[in-house]
Amino acid sequence: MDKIVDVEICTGTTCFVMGAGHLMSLAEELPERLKGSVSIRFARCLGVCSVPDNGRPPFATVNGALIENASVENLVAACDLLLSGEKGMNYETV
Amino acid sequence: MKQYDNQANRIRKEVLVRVARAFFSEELRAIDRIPIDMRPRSGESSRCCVYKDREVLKYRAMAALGFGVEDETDELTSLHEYYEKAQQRTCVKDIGLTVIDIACHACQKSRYVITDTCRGCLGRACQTNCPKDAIEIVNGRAVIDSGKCVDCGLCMKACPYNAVVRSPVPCEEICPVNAVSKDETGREIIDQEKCISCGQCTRACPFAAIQERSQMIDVLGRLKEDRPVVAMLAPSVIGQFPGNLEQIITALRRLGFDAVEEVATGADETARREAAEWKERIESGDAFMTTSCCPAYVEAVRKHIPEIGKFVSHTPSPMAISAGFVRETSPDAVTVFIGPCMAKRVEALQSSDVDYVLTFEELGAMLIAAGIDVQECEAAVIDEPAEAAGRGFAVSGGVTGAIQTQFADQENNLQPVGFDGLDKKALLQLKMAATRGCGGNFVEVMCCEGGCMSGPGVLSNPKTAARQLNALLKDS
Ligand code: SF4
Ligand code: SF4
Ligand code: FES
Repeated sequence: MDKIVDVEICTGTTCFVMGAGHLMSLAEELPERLKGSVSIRFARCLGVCSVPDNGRPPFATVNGALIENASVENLVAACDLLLSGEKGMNYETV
Repeated sequence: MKQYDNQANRIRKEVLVRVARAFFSEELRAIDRIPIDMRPRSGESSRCCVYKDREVLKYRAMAALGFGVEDETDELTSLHEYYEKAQQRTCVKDIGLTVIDIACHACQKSRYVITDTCRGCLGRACQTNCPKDAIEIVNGRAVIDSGKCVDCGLCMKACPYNAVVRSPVPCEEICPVNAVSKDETGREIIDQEKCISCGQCTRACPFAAIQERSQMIDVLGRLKEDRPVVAMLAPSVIGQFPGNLEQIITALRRLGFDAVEEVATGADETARREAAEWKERIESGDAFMTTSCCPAYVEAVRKHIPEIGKFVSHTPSPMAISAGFVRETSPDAVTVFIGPCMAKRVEALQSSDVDYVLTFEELGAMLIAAGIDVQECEAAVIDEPAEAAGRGFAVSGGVTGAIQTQFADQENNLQPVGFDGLDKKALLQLKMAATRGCGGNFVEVMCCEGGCMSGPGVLSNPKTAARQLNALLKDS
Protein backbone atom coordinates (compact mmCIF):
# COMPACT_ATOMS: atom_id res chain seq x y z
CA MET A 1 0.00 0.00 0.00
CA ASP A 2 2.30 2.69 -1.27
CA LYS A 3 1.11 6.07 -0.19
CA ILE A 4 1.39 8.93 -2.66
CA VAL A 5 1.68 12.52 -1.51
CA ASP A 6 0.24 15.17 -3.75
CA VAL A 7 2.32 18.34 -4.10
CA GLU A 8 0.94 21.29 -5.99
CA ILE A 9 3.27 24.19 -6.69
CA CYS A 10 1.85 27.58 -7.58
CA THR A 11 3.36 29.07 -10.70
CA GLY A 12 1.36 32.26 -10.73
CA THR A 13 3.63 35.24 -11.43
CA THR A 14 3.96 36.24 -7.77
CA CYS A 15 4.97 32.78 -6.61
CA PHE A 16 7.12 32.10 -9.66
CA VAL A 17 9.15 35.27 -9.23
CA MET A 18 9.54 34.86 -5.49
CA GLY A 19 11.04 31.40 -5.80
CA ALA A 20 8.74 28.88 -7.47
CA GLY A 21 10.84 29.28 -10.62
CA HIS A 22 13.52 27.40 -8.75
CA LEU A 23 11.07 24.69 -7.70
CA MET A 24 10.24 23.63 -11.25
CA SER A 25 12.87 20.94 -10.93
CA LEU A 26 11.59 19.64 -7.58
CA ALA A 27 11.10 16.14 -9.00
CA GLU A 28 14.83 15.85 -9.67
CA GLU A 29 15.79 17.26 -6.32
CA LEU A 30 13.72 14.88 -4.22
CA PRO A 31 15.80 12.57 -2.05
CA GLU A 32 15.80 8.93 -3.20
CA ARG A 33 13.50 7.85 -0.39
CA LEU A 34 10.72 10.07 -1.72
CA LYS A 35 11.05 9.34 -5.42
CA GLY A 36 7.99 7.46 -6.59
CA SER A 37 5.88 8.53 -3.62
CA VAL A 38 5.36 12.15 -4.54
CA SER A 39 3.20 13.42 -7.34
CA ILE A 40 4.01 16.97 -8.40
CA ARG A 41 1.65 19.31 -10.21
CA PHE A 42 2.02 22.93 -11.19
CA ALA A 43 -0.91 25.26 -10.73
CA ARG A 44 -1.98 28.69 -11.87
CA CYS A 45 -2.26 31.34 -9.14
CA LEU A 46 -3.78 29.56 -6.14
CA GLY A 47 -5.38 32.83 -5.19
CA VAL A 48 -3.77 33.02 -1.77
CA CYS A 49 -1.04 35.54 -2.63
CA SER A 50 -3.34 38.53 -2.37
CA VAL A 51 -3.98 38.01 1.36
CA PRO A 52 -0.94 38.98 3.45
CA ASP A 53 -2.09 36.78 6.34
CA ASN A 54 -1.46 33.70 4.23
CA GLY A 55 2.26 34.30 4.54
CA ARG A 56 4.99 34.79 2.01
CA PRO A 57 5.02 33.47 -1.53
CA PRO A 58 5.88 31.07 -3.12
CA PHE A 59 2.95 28.92 -2.05
CA ALA A 60 2.42 25.22 -2.49
CA THR A 61 0.04 22.66 -1.11
CA VAL A 62 0.96 19.24 0.19
CA ASN A 63 -2.10 16.94 0.29
CA GLY A 64 -4.14 20.10 0.28
CA ALA A 65 -2.41 21.81 3.20
CA LEU A 66 -1.01 25.23 2.36
CA ILE A 67 2.73 25.79 2.68
CA GLU A 68 4.03 29.35 2.59
CA ASN A 69 7.58 30.34 1.62
CA ALA A 70 7.84 26.98 -0.10
CA SER A 71 11.31 25.58 -0.68
CA VAL A 72 12.75 22.22 -1.59
CA GLU A 73 13.56 21.74 2.09
CA ASN A 74 10.16 22.47 3.58
CA LEU A 75 8.32 20.56 0.86
CA VAL A 76 10.50 17.52 1.42
CA ALA A 77 9.94 17.81 5.17
CA ALA A 78 6.17 17.99 4.66
CA CYS A 79 6.20 14.93 2.40
CA ASP A 80 8.28 12.97 4.88
CA LEU A 81 5.93 13.84 7.67
CA LEU A 82 2.90 12.65 5.71
CA LEU A 83 4.53 9.47 4.48
CA SER A 84 5.97 8.26 7.73
CA GLY A 85 4.64 10.45 10.44
CA GLU A 86 8.23 11.30 11.20
CA LYS A 87 10.44 14.23 10.37
CA GLY A 88 12.78 13.74 7.42
CA MET A 89 15.83 13.29 9.58
CA ASN A 90 14.50 10.13 11.20
CA TYR A 91 12.89 8.64 8.17
CA GLU A 92 15.76 6.38 7.21
CA THR A 93 15.72 4.66 10.58
CA VAL A 94 11.97 4.11 10.72
CA MET B 1 25.40 24.79 -11.72
CA LYS B 2 24.64 27.49 -9.20
CA GLN B 3 21.17 28.20 -7.96
CA TYR B 4 20.32 31.54 -6.52
CA ASP B 5 17.27 30.75 -4.46
CA ASN B 6 17.63 31.10 -0.71
CA GLN B 7 15.95 33.06 2.06
CA ALA B 8 18.40 35.96 1.83
CA ASN B 9 17.69 36.38 -1.86
CA ARG B 10 13.95 36.14 -1.29
CA ILE B 11 14.13 38.99 1.21
CA ARG B 12 15.98 41.09 -1.34
CA LYS B 13 13.25 40.39 -3.91
CA GLU B 14 10.51 41.16 -1.41
CA VAL B 15 12.02 44.61 -0.85
CA LEU B 16 11.96 45.25 -4.60
CA VAL B 17 8.31 44.23 -4.75
CA ARG B 18 7.40 46.50 -1.85
CA VAL B 19 9.23 49.44 -3.38
CA ALA B 20 7.44 48.89 -6.70
CA ARG B 21 4.11 48.63 -4.85
CA ALA B 22 4.75 51.93 -3.15
CA PHE B 23 5.36 53.41 -6.59
CA PHE B 24 2.04 52.18 -7.97
CA SER B 25 0.04 53.13 -4.90
CA GLU B 26 1.68 56.56 -4.83
CA GLU B 27 1.73 56.11 -1.08
CA LEU B 28 4.98 57.78 -0.25
CA ARG B 29 4.82 56.86 3.40
CA ALA B 30 4.44 53.20 2.49
CA ILE B 31 8.08 53.32 1.56
CA ASP B 32 9.15 54.38 5.02
CA ARG B 33 7.15 51.53 6.47
CA ILE B 34 8.91 48.79 4.51
CA PRO B 35 11.44 47.85 7.21
CA ILE B 36 8.76 47.91 9.91
CA ASP B 37 6.22 45.96 7.89
CA MET B 38 8.78 43.31 7.04
CA ARG B 39 10.06 43.03 10.60
CA PRO B 40 7.21 43.85 12.99
CA ARG B 41 8.14 44.11 16.64
CA SER B 42 6.18 40.99 17.48
CA GLY B 43 7.79 38.88 14.80
CA GLU B 44 10.98 36.91 14.51
CA SER B 45 14.32 38.47 13.69
CA SER B 46 17.03 36.97 11.56
CA ARG B 47 19.84 38.81 13.31
CA CYS B 48 20.25 39.88 16.92
CA CYS B 49 16.97 41.80 16.97
CA VAL B 50 14.28 43.23 14.71
CA TYR B 51 15.88 46.67 14.97
CA LYS B 52 19.06 45.59 13.31
CA ASP B 53 17.06 43.72 10.67
CA ARG B 54 15.12 46.91 9.98
CA GLU B 55 18.31 48.88 9.56
CA VAL B 56 19.56 46.37 6.99
CA LEU B 57 16.19 46.46 5.25
CA LYS B 58 16.41 50.23 5.00
CA TYR B 59 19.68 49.89 3.10
CA ARG B 60 18.14 47.21 0.91
CA ALA B 61 15.29 49.56 0.10
CA MET B 62 17.81 52.29 -0.66
CA ALA B 63 19.56 49.94 -3.10
CA ALA B 64 16.18 49.13 -4.64
CA LEU B 65 15.80 52.88 -5.15
CA GLY B 66 19.21 53.05 -6.77
CA PHE B 67 21.28 54.32 -3.84
CA GLY B 68 24.26 52.71 -2.17
CA VAL B 69 25.33 52.85 1.44
CA GLU B 70 28.00 55.25 0.17
CA ASP B 71 25.29 57.76 -0.78
CA GLU B 72 24.20 58.17 2.82
CA THR B 73 25.31 61.49 4.22
CA ASP B 74 22.80 61.69 7.02
CA GLU B 75 21.41 58.61 8.74
CA LEU B 76 18.18 60.48 9.37
CA THR B 77 17.37 60.76 5.68
CA SER B 78 14.23 58.70 5.29
CA LEU B 79 13.36 56.30 2.55
CA HIS B 80 10.72 58.59 1.11
CA GLU B 81 13.33 61.30 0.73
CA TYR B 82 15.49 58.86 -1.23
CA TYR B 83 12.43 57.96 -3.24
CA GLU B 84 11.87 61.61 -4.11
CA LYS B 85 15.49 61.97 -5.11
CA ALA B 86 15.21 58.88 -7.27
CA GLN B 87 12.23 60.42 -9.03
CA GLN B 88 14.34 63.39 -10.02
CA ARG B 89 17.08 61.32 -11.55
CA THR B 90 17.11 61.64 -15.33
CA CYS B 91 19.93 59.29 -16.19
CA VAL B 92 21.96 56.54 -14.61
CA LYS B 93 25.45 57.44 -13.48
CA ASP B 94 26.43 55.12 -10.70
CA ILE B 95 26.22 51.38 -11.14
CA GLY B 96 28.80 50.18 -8.63
CA LEU B 97 27.68 47.41 -6.29
CA THR B 98 27.15 48.47 -2.71
CA VAL B 99 28.10 46.51 0.38
CA ILE B 100 25.63 46.81 3.22
CA ASP B 101 28.27 46.86 5.91
CA ILE B 102 26.00 46.18 8.86
CA ALA B 103 24.72 43.07 7.14
CA CYS B 104 28.21 41.87 6.42
CA HIS B 105 30.16 41.74 9.64
CA ALA B 106 29.50 38.09 10.24
CA CYS B 107 32.14 36.39 8.10
CA GLN B 108 35.55 35.88 9.57
CA LYS B 109 38.54 36.08 7.32
CA SER B 110 38.74 32.87 5.34
CA ARG B 111 40.87 30.46 7.27
CA TYR B 112 41.56 26.91 8.34
CA VAL B 113 39.91 25.81 11.55
CA ILE B 114 40.44 22.71 13.63
CA THR B 115 37.09 21.27 14.61
CA ASP B 116 35.83 19.13 17.47
CA THR B 117 36.71 16.05 15.49
CA CYS B 118 40.37 16.54 16.50
CA ARG B 119 41.44 13.64 18.73
CA GLY B 120 44.63 15.34 19.87
CA CYS B 121 46.33 12.25 18.45
CA LEU B 122 49.81 11.02 18.95
CA GLY B 123 50.75 11.23 15.28
CA ARG B 124 50.26 15.00 15.09
CA ALA B 125 50.35 14.96 11.30
CA CYS B 126 49.06 18.54 11.29
CA GLN B 127 51.92 19.81 13.39
CA THR B 128 54.52 17.84 11.47
CA ASN B 129 53.28 19.11 8.11
CA CYS B 130 52.82 22.76 9.04
CA PRO B 131 55.70 24.67 7.48
CA LYS B 132 55.18 27.69 9.72
CA ASP B 133 55.00 26.05 13.09
CA ALA B 134 51.52 27.48 13.53
CA ILE B 135 49.92 24.54 15.32
CA GLU B 136 49.99 24.13 19.08
CA ILE B 137 48.28 21.59 21.23
CA VAL B 138 46.05 23.22 23.82
CA ASN B 139 44.07 21.09 26.28
CA GLY B 140 44.67 18.00 24.22
CA ARG B 141 43.52 19.56 20.96
CA ALA B 142 45.29 21.15 18.04
CA VAL B 143 44.81 24.90 17.61
CA ILE B 144 45.97 27.11 14.74
CA ASP B 145 47.77 30.32 15.59
CA SER B 146 46.24 32.65 13.02
CA GLY B 147 49.17 35.02 13.30
CA LYS B 148 51.51 32.40 11.93
CA CYS B 149 49.15 30.55 9.55
CA VAL B 150 49.76 31.25 5.86
CA ASP B 151 46.63 29.46 4.59
CA CYS B 152 48.52 26.69 2.81
CA GLY B 153 46.07 23.98 3.87
CA LEU B 154 48.69 21.29 4.42
CA CYS B 155 47.28 20.46 7.86
CA MET B 156 43.88 19.84 6.33
CA LYS B 157 45.35 17.36 3.88
CA ALA B 158 47.39 15.69 6.59
CA CYS B 159 44.82 15.07 9.32
CA PRO B 160 43.65 11.44 9.23
CA TYR B 161 40.42 12.38 11.05
CA ASN B 162 39.47 15.15 8.60
CA ALA B 163 39.37 17.41 11.62
CA VAL B 164 40.60 20.49 9.75
CA VAL B 165 38.17 22.47 7.64
CA ARG B 166 38.55 25.55 5.57
CA SER B 167 35.98 28.20 6.35
CA PRO B 168 35.73 30.45 3.31
CA VAL B 169 34.28 33.91 2.82
CA PRO B 170 31.74 33.16 0.09
CA CYS B 171 31.93 36.49 -1.75
CA GLU B 172 35.73 36.50 -1.82
CA GLU B 173 35.73 32.88 -2.85
CA ILE B 174 33.50 33.35 -5.87
CA CYS B 175 34.97 36.59 -7.22
CA PRO B 176 37.02 35.63 -10.28
CA VAL B 177 39.24 38.69 -10.05
CA ASN B 178 39.91 39.08 -6.30
CA ALA B 179 38.00 42.33 -6.20
CA VAL B 180 36.37 41.64 -2.82
CA SER B 181 38.37 41.84 0.35
CA LYS B 182 38.11 42.92 3.96
CA ASP B 183 39.10 46.34 5.18
CA GLU B 184 40.65 46.94 8.62
CA THR B 185 37.26 46.81 10.30
CA GLY B 186 36.41 43.43 8.84
CA ARG B 187 33.77 44.52 6.38
CA GLU B 188 33.99 43.59 2.76
CA ILE B 189 34.85 46.24 0.23
CA ILE B 190 34.78 45.98 -3.52
CA ASP B 191 37.70 47.38 -5.44
CA GLN B 192 35.99 49.07 -8.38
CA GLU B 193 39.28 49.12 -10.29
CA LYS B 194 39.22 45.34 -10.33
CA CYS B 195 35.49 44.52 -10.34
CA ILE B 196 34.11 43.25 -13.65
CA SER B 197 30.48 43.59 -12.49
CA CYS B 198 29.69 39.94 -13.02
CA GLY B 199 27.41 40.02 -9.98
CA GLN B 200 28.42 36.60 -8.70
CA CYS B 201 29.23 37.97 -5.25
CA THR B 202 25.76 39.46 -4.85
CA ARG B 203 24.25 36.00 -5.08
CA ALA B 204 26.98 34.12 -3.26
CA CYS B 205 26.74 36.10 -0.01
CA PRO B 206 24.46 34.15 2.36
CA PHE B 207 23.45 37.45 3.99
CA ALA B 208 22.77 39.12 0.62
CA ALA B 209 24.95 41.94 1.92
CA ILE B 210 26.16 42.95 -1.53
CA GLN B 211 23.49 44.64 -3.54
CA GLU B 212 23.17 46.17 -6.95
CA ARG B 213 21.73 49.64 -7.32
CA SER B 214 18.44 49.06 -9.03
CA GLN B 215 17.19 51.13 -11.95
CA MET B 216 13.63 49.91 -11.45
CA ILE B 217 12.28 53.20 -10.11
CA ASP B 218 13.84 55.09 -13.02
CA VAL B 219 12.16 52.80 -15.55
CA LEU B 220 8.81 52.96 -13.73
CA GLY B 221 9.08 56.75 -13.87
CA ARG B 222 9.80 56.72 -17.62
CA LEU B 223 6.82 54.43 -18.22
CA LYS B 224 4.53 57.11 -16.81
CA GLU B 225 5.88 59.80 -19.10
CA ASP B 226 4.99 60.53 -22.71
CA ARG B 227 8.18 59.40 -24.41
CA PRO B 228 7.90 55.92 -25.89
CA VAL B 229 9.70 53.24 -23.89
CA VAL B 230 11.00 50.14 -25.63
CA ALA B 231 11.78 46.90 -23.80
CA MET B 232 14.60 44.81 -25.23
CA LEU B 233 14.23 41.27 -23.93
CA ALA B 234 17.38 39.17 -23.64
CA PRO B 235 17.34 35.73 -25.30
CA SER B 236 17.59 34.19 -21.84
CA VAL B 237 14.05 35.33 -21.01
CA ILE B 238 12.81 31.87 -21.95
CA GLY B 239 11.80 29.99 -18.83
CA GLN B 240 12.17 33.03 -16.56
CA PHE B 241 8.45 33.61 -16.22
CA PRO B 242 5.40 31.42 -16.31
CA GLY B 243 3.68 31.47 -19.68
CA ASN B 244 5.33 31.75 -23.07
CA LEU B 245 7.28 34.49 -24.82
CA GLU B 246 4.14 35.85 -26.49
CA GLN B 247 2.43 36.23 -23.11
CA ILE B 248 5.47 37.88 -21.56
CA ILE B 249 5.38 40.46 -24.36
CA THR B 250 1.75 41.24 -23.55
CA ALA B 251 2.63 41.51 -19.85
CA LEU B 252 5.31 44.09 -20.70
CA ARG B 253 2.86 46.08 -22.79
CA ARG B 254 0.44 46.08 -19.89
CA LEU B 255 3.18 47.45 -17.68
CA GLY B 256 3.36 50.37 -20.08
CA PHE B 257 6.13 49.53 -22.54
CA ASP B 258 5.24 50.82 -25.98
CA ALA B 259 7.13 48.15 -27.85
CA VAL B 260 8.97 44.94 -27.03
CA GLU B 261 11.94 43.74 -29.04
CA GLU B 262 13.60 40.34 -28.89
CA VAL B 263 17.33 40.87 -28.45
CA ALA B 264 17.67 37.46 -30.09
CA THR B 265 17.12 39.35 -33.35
CA GLY B 266 20.18 41.44 -32.56
CA ALA B 267 21.96 38.19 -31.74
CA ASP B 268 21.20 36.87 -35.23
CA GLU B 269 22.91 39.95 -36.64
CA THR B 270 25.82 39.59 -34.19
CA ALA B 271 26.28 36.03 -35.44
CA ARG B 272 26.33 37.12 -39.10
CA ARG B 273 28.86 39.89 -38.49
CA GLU B 274 30.97 37.89 -36.08
CA ALA B 275 31.23 35.00 -38.55
CA ALA B 276 32.42 37.39 -41.27
CA GLU B 277 34.86 39.03 -38.90
CA TRP B 278 36.23 35.68 -37.79
CA LYS B 279 36.79 34.56 -41.39
CA GLU B 280 38.60 37.77 -42.22
CA ARG B 281 40.79 37.62 -39.12
CA ILE B 282 41.80 34.00 -39.54
CA GLU B 283 42.55 34.55 -43.22
CA SER B 284 44.77 37.46 -42.29
CA GLY B 285 46.75 35.21 -39.97
CA ASP B 286 45.23 35.70 -36.50
CA ALA B 287 45.59 32.64 -34.29
CA PHE B 288 42.07 32.91 -32.91
CA MET B 289 39.22 35.25 -32.10
CA THR B 290 37.15 35.36 -28.95
CA THR B 291 33.53 36.40 -28.60
CA SER B 292 32.60 39.81 -27.21
CA CYS B 293 28.95 39.49 -26.21
CA CYS B 294 29.58 38.91 -22.50
CA PRO B 295 30.38 42.31 -20.96
CA ALA B 296 31.84 40.78 -17.81
CA TYR B 297 34.38 39.01 -19.99
CA VAL B 298 35.07 42.22 -21.91
CA GLU B 299 35.65 44.01 -18.60
CA ALA B 300 37.91 41.19 -17.46
CA VAL B 301 39.99 41.60 -20.59
CA ARG B 302 40.24 45.33 -20.14
CA LYS B 303 41.13 45.22 -16.46
CA HIS B 304 42.96 41.95 -16.01
CA ILE B 305 44.13 40.28 -19.20
CA PRO B 306 44.85 43.11 -21.63
CA GLU B 307 47.23 40.83 -23.51
CA ILE B 308 44.24 39.06 -25.03
CA GLY B 309 42.54 42.31 -26.03
CA LYS B 310 43.55 42.14 -29.65
CA PHE B 311 41.88 38.75 -30.05
CA VAL B 312 38.45 39.95 -28.88
CA SER B 313 35.87 40.40 -31.61
CA HIS B 314 34.86 43.98 -32.49
CA THR B 315 31.35 42.93 -33.40
CA PRO B 316 28.82 44.70 -31.18
CA SER B 317 26.86 42.58 -28.71
CA PRO B 318 23.25 41.56 -29.41
CA MET B 319 22.10 44.22 -26.93
CA ALA B 320 24.06 46.93 -28.74
CA ILE B 321 22.77 45.87 -32.14
CA SER B 322 19.17 45.67 -30.98
CA ALA B 323 19.42 49.05 -29.31
CA GLY B 324 20.88 50.45 -32.55
CA PHE B 325 17.86 49.13 -34.48
CA VAL B 326 15.50 50.76 -32.01
CA ARG B 327 17.32 54.10 -32.16
CA GLU B 328 17.13 54.07 -35.95
CA THR B 329 13.40 53.54 -36.06
CA SER B 330 12.40 55.59 -33.03
CA PRO B 331 15.20 58.01 -32.15
CA ASP B 332 13.43 59.54 -29.17
CA ALA B 333 12.51 56.26 -27.49
CA VAL B 334 13.81 55.29 -24.07
CA THR B 335 15.52 51.91 -24.37
CA VAL B 336 15.45 49.36 -21.57
CA PHE B 337 17.41 46.13 -21.76
CA ILE B 338 15.89 43.37 -19.64
CA GLY B 339 18.07 40.38 -18.88
CA PRO B 340 19.78 38.27 -16.24
CA CYS B 341 22.97 40.28 -16.27
CA MET B 342 24.59 42.89 -14.07
CA ALA B 343 27.57 43.48 -16.31
CA LYS B 344 25.21 44.72 -19.02
CA ARG B 345 24.85 47.80 -16.82
CA VAL B 346 28.48 48.61 -17.53
CA GLU B 347 28.03 48.06 -21.24
CA ALA B 348 24.89 50.22 -21.24
CA LEU B 349 26.67 53.02 -19.41
CA GLN B 350 29.27 53.09 -22.18
CA SER B 351 26.67 53.01 -24.95
CA SER B 352 24.49 55.93 -25.95
CA ASP B 353 21.85 53.57 -27.31
CA VAL B 354 20.88 51.79 -24.10
CA ASP B 355 19.29 53.93 -21.41
CA TYR B 356 18.44 51.43 -18.68
CA VAL B 357 19.12 47.85 -17.69
CA LEU B 358 16.74 45.76 -15.61
CA THR B 359 17.19 42.23 -14.36
CA PHE B 360 14.45 39.61 -14.62
CA GLU B 361 14.14 39.97 -10.85
CA GLU B 362 13.34 43.64 -11.15
CA LEU B 363 10.88 43.02 -13.96
CA GLY B 364 9.31 40.29 -11.83
CA ALA B 365 8.92 42.72 -8.93
CA MET B 366 7.28 45.26 -11.24
CA LEU B 367 4.81 42.65 -12.55
CA ILE B 368 3.90 41.52 -9.04
CA ALA B 369 3.39 45.08 -7.87
CA ALA B 370 1.27 45.93 -10.91
CA GLY B 371 -0.81 42.79 -10.35
CA ILE B 372 -0.04 41.38 -13.79
CA ASP B 373 -0.13 37.60 -14.02
CA VAL B 374 1.74 36.48 -17.13
CA GLN B 375 -0.34 33.33 -17.54
CA GLU B 376 -3.48 35.44 -17.67
CA CYS B 377 -2.11 37.54 -20.53
CA GLU B 378 -3.20 36.80 -24.08
CA ALA B 379 -0.44 35.85 -26.50
CA ALA B 380 0.98 38.72 -28.53
CA VAL B 381 1.81 38.25 -32.18
CA ILE B 382 5.54 38.48 -32.83
CA ASP B 383 5.93 40.17 -36.22
CA GLU B 384 9.48 39.16 -36.90
CA PRO B 385 10.47 36.30 -34.65
CA ALA B 386 14.17 35.77 -34.08
CA GLU B 387 15.92 32.75 -35.52
CA ALA B 388 16.78 29.74 -33.41
CA ALA B 389 20.47 30.64 -33.62
CA GLY B 390 19.95 34.04 -32.01
CA ARG B 391 17.68 32.66 -29.31
CA GLY B 392 20.35 30.11 -28.52
CA PHE B 393 22.77 32.84 -27.32
CA ALA B 394 21.20 32.37 -23.89
CA VAL B 395 23.19 29.25 -23.09
CA SER B 396 26.86 28.37 -23.23
CA GLY B 397 27.68 26.99 -26.64
CA GLY B 398 24.91 29.08 -28.19
CA VAL B 399 27.16 31.65 -29.82
CA THR B 400 29.35 28.88 -31.20
CA GLY B 401 26.26 27.15 -32.53
CA ALA B 402 25.12 30.34 -34.25
CA ILE B 403 28.53 30.80 -35.89
CA GLN B 404 28.51 27.18 -37.02
CA THR B 405 25.10 27.76 -38.58
CA GLN B 406 26.60 30.66 -40.54
CA PHE B 407 29.17 28.34 -42.06
CA ALA B 408 26.87 25.33 -42.37
CA ASP B 409 27.08 25.10 -46.15
CA GLN B 410 30.60 26.42 -46.58
CA GLU B 411 34.03 24.92 -46.46
CA ASN B 412 35.56 26.13 -43.19
CA ASN B 413 38.10 25.23 -40.56
CA LEU B 414 36.21 26.52 -37.56
CA GLN B 415 37.69 25.00 -34.42
CA PRO B 416 35.57 26.14 -31.51
CA VAL B 417 36.70 26.18 -27.88
CA GLY B 418 34.50 27.29 -25.03
CA PHE B 419 35.09 28.88 -21.65
CA ASP B 420 31.92 28.02 -19.80
CA GLY B 421 32.22 30.24 -16.75
CA LEU B 422 35.00 32.63 -15.89
CA ASP B 423 36.84 31.68 -12.74
CA LYS B 424 40.38 32.33 -11.59
CA LYS B 425 41.64 29.31 -13.52
CA ALA B 426 39.90 30.26 -16.76
CA LEU B 427 41.37 33.76 -16.52
CA LEU B 428 44.84 32.30 -16.24
CA GLN B 429 44.24 30.02 -19.21
CA LEU B 430 43.03 32.95 -21.29
CA LYS B 431 46.07 34.97 -20.28
CA MET B 432 48.32 32.19 -21.50
CA ALA B 433 46.28 31.79 -24.68
CA ALA B 434 47.53 35.21 -25.80
CA THR B 435 50.98 33.77 -26.39
CA ARG B 436 50.44 30.05 -26.63
CA GLY B 437 47.02 29.80 -28.26
CA CYS B 438 44.24 27.74 -26.79
CA GLY B 439 43.73 24.78 -29.04
CA GLY B 440 41.08 26.36 -31.23
CA ASN B 441 40.46 29.38 -33.40
CA PHE B 442 37.01 30.46 -32.27
CA VAL B 443 36.78 31.02 -28.54
CA GLU B 444 33.45 31.52 -26.82
CA VAL B 445 33.68 33.05 -23.35
CA MET B 446 30.75 33.24 -20.98
CA CYS B 447 31.39 34.62 -17.53
CA CYS B 448 28.47 32.73 -16.00
CA GLU B 449 28.77 28.97 -15.97
CA GLY B 450 26.01 27.66 -18.21
CA GLY B 451 25.69 31.01 -19.97
CA CYS B 452 23.31 33.88 -19.36
CA MET B 453 20.58 31.48 -18.21
CA SER B 454 22.64 31.18 -15.04
CA GLY B 455 23.21 34.91 -14.79
CA PRO B 456 22.77 36.57 -11.39
CA GLY B 457 19.38 38.09 -12.25
CA VAL B 458 17.54 34.91 -13.22
CA LEU B 459 14.38 33.65 -11.59
CA SER B 460 14.47 30.02 -12.64
CA ASN B 461 16.51 26.94 -12.24
CA PRO B 462 18.95 27.09 -15.19
CA LYS B 463 18.37 23.43 -16.01
CA THR B 464 14.62 23.75 -16.46
CA ALA B 465 15.00 27.04 -18.29
CA ALA B 466 17.47 25.46 -20.71
CA ARG B 467 15.01 22.65 -21.36
CA GLN B 468 12.29 25.13 -22.22
CA LEU B 469 14.68 26.96 -24.49
CA ASN B 470 15.53 23.75 -26.34
CA ALA B 471 11.84 23.07 -26.86
CA LEU B 472 11.37 26.55 -28.30
CA LEU B 473 14.43 26.28 -30.54
CA LYS B 474 12.98 23.18 -32.16
CA ASP B 475 10.17 25.26 -33.61
CA SER B 476 11.96 28.59 -34.06
S1 SF4 C 1 30.71 41.67 -9.25
FE1 SF4 C 1 32.06 39.96 -9.84
S2 SF4 C 1 34.03 40.92 -10.18
FE2 SF4 C 1 32.83 42.39 -9.01
S3 SF4 C 1 33.33 41.98 -6.88
FE3 SF4 C 1 31.51 40.78 -7.35
S4 SF4 C 1 32.27 38.75 -7.96
FE4 SF4 C 1 34.03 40.19 -8.06
S1 SF4 D 1 27.42 35.13 -19.20
FE1 SF4 D 1 25.67 36.40 -19.74
S2 SF4 D 1 24.69 36.97 -17.80
FE2 SF4 D 1 26.75 36.23 -17.31
S3 SF4 D 1 28.00 38.08 -17.22
FE3 SF4 D 1 28.18 37.24 -19.32
S4 SF4 D 1 26.57 38.28 -20.49
FE4 SF4 D 1 26.14 38.62 -18.32
S1 FES E 1 0.73 33.52 -7.55
FE1 FES E 1 0.83 31.86 -6.17
S2 FES E 1 -0.93 32.18 -4.96
FE2 FES E 1 -1.06 33.76 -6.41
